[in-house]
Amino acid sequence: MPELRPTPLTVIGAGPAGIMAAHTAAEAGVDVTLIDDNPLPGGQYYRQSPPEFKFSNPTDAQSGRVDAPSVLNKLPHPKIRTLHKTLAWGVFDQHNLALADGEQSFLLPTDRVVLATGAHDRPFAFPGWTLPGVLGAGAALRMIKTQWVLPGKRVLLAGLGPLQLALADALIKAGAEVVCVAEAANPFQSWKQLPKFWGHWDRLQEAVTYSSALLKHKVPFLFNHAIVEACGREQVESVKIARLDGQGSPIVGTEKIFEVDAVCLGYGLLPSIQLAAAFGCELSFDKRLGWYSPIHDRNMESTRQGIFVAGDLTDIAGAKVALLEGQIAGLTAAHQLGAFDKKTLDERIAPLLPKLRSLNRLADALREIYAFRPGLTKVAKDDTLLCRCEEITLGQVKEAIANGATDVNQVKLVTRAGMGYCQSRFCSVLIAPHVAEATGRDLSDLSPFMVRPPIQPIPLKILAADAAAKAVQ
Amino acid sequence: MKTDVVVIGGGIVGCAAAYYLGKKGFQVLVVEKDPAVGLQASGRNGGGVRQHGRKAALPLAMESVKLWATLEKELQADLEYSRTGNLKIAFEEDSARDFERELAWEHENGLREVRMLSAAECHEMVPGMTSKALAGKLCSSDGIANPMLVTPAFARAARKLGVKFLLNTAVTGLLWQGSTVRGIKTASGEIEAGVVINAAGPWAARFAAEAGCPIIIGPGRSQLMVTERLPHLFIDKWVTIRGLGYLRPTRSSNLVIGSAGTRNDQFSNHVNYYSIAVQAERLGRLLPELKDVKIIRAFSGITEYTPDTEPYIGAVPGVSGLFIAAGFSGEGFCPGPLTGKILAELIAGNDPSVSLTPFRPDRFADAIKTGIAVPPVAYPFDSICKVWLPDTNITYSELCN
Repeated sequence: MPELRPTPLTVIGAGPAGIMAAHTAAEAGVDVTLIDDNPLPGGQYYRQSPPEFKFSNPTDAQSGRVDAPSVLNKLPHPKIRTLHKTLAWGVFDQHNLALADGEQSFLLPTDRVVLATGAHDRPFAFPGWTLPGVLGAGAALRMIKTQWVLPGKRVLLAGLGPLQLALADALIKAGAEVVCVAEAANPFQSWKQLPKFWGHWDRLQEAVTYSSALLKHKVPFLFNHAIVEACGREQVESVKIARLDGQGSPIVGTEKIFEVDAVCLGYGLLPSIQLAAAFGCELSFDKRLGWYSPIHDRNMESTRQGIFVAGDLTDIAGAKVALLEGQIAGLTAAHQLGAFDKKTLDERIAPLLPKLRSLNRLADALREIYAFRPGLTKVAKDDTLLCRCEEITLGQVKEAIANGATDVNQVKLVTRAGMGYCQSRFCSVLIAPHVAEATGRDLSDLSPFMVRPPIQPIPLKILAADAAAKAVQ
Repeated sequence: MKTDVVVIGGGIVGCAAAYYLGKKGFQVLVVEKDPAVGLQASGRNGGGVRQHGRKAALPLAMESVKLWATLEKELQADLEYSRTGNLKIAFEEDSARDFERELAWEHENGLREVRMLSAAECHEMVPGMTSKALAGKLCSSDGIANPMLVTPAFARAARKLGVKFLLNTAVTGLLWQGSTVRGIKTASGEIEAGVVINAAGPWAARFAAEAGCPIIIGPGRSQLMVTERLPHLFIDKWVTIRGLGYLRPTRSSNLVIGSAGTRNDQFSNHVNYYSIAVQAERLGRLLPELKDVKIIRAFSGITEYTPDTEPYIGAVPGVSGLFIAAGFSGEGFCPGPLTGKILAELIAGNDPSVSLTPFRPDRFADAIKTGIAVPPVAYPFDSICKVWLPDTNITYSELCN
């Protein structure tokens, strides 16, 4: 990568929020750099099949979502420079973004930034969760819809939320047998949320379509059940699920066993907050999520001026909310860069807000119904791994706390949990609730693991290549 | 609030001093500006427990290594201490000559476990190097411990002895009664104490100046990269490569790639992008097999340097009740525990077990007061790295600041 000319706006993540932010600002005349680590834009929601794949029906390549073409067709754009296969791996001196492509690392000075880094599957630890054949629902959906590969032939789904229905439907259509869907929520306890669905007929229709597909194939759908164990030698061969009590803890004696060759876990999504934290944006604890997301105002601006956040990074509210939030962030950034005045900004944002409010009401209801219940952490046993990179068990974490560790970072120092390949991106959410419980503190009082560069591992030679290039000059 | 001894700074020296004072029955309070102990250089260094290459501090380091042998038992903690040996490799004539000079000094002082190595031996101990080594020097009684465990272990053991810790609290000044120190000031109030220990590392100069015994200390940077776990660790000991930094294995088969001894004018505890890039480039050229290895994290801490690279340790002359231990010039981890023990001996009125003459706190005071021939802070990595950047006119520190 030669010296890269900085642009007034940098957008990180080419999913719905990122594409909309970049496109909106570009249409207002702002030069934009759009950065994404995938070979094609779209993010998770509009993920496209690899460019090497050939399709007789071109829409098959575009994730199957009906609105995909209208979003994906916004690119390319003359004002948007898109850097594909480029990882944003750190922030230096507050505004220099460290990027790495397949060749080398380089620094890109930024001015205004929209972070649209999305979300990742929430890990869920239980005995046997690291067996081959146990995978995240997001990963499974990606395998089916873009790689055209089935994760297994006999599949059990366990998790929280409507994504499970969509996945079950996709699995059945692709020819797998879904042996059971274990839904940890109990929607009948959340009937108060029902009015919030009023008006969202498309979403209800979606639910009906998926549910009738399950009914047609006689797939057992069990509310208030969670996975408690996966067994197998080389890979998963059977799973155990159990009914949950009011706190979400499994009830002994209610277990059911299924023979399977794959398990898809969809215990919700967590915002990918690492880059926001690296930029120094303040995070707040979301009780229903049981985790952190960046604080932002009505215009999607974070606590750092000129740094915006949009999409699932802020609230896990889905693609439609992401598109609107991206648009608002893009408009505000363009206004700050002098594309138009405050009055125009307000006029352009005003019509978006009612839509956003309505969608957020629905997202709120879903978050309430599918909140991560504290009892679900009870599924892990003392010999269950919480940090799979460093192979640290719940028992070791408890021992560290018994020996005086009082927060997540101290547990990390003593046990090495969180020091491995994932750099605690996945395990911190598994470890923190146990630290909170054992120390008698509220989960929201614990500070999360510190974020350090690189946010994702980078090969030594990629970093070295920049210094080599500089020395030549 | 009132206590016998107040320690400014919860680094390895401060926590060790608190522990040994607590053992002697003193009431001790450690005041630390960070939310936990050992968050700066004490916890963010390579973890070298090393003797060779020391100048005046060699006897202190040798006694320290004896103490390290008993430390895990003393603190009832796993510190991952191991006498792995410590190898230094030179690729230039003048570095090789330095090794000879060091060796003569070390043998004179009774450090027998150190010897020169042939180029062939160096290549055997660090397989895969593409440049031909000129000479090596190995100290077999040197070793490694995990710095992230040691300071917290001292703090834990100290707490059991009744030592108190005041975290998230910056010391703003000293309390005086004539020329006697009688405590400290913090943002949240005054703390009275018969004795104050200034173990504030790079921040020690302000308290020394307030006491009329100015010292020269400059902030430096200790920076580390950690690789993913390697299926086959090709080194089993600490390896210093002149002009590159150091490499060391961890117990979990990661490789730590570190450097220390560069200027850090902003007291930054953030990683400097160009310095890790330059180090990665050097390392990739020397050991091409590491090129595809992934870096999983990088972090840095603030260290401190003095003009002669020796620390300031002892009672502050002309002031009653004030002691200092700071300025370790990137080499405070190994002597940290013993320094804490020596401070406890001094405060209890005993003679120190190691001569502190080379570490007199007032050795630059006259120069500073008169402004004549004030020596500059010596950043050792900086002078080494002039060799590194032959095509540019800038020093390594300038690149990194």
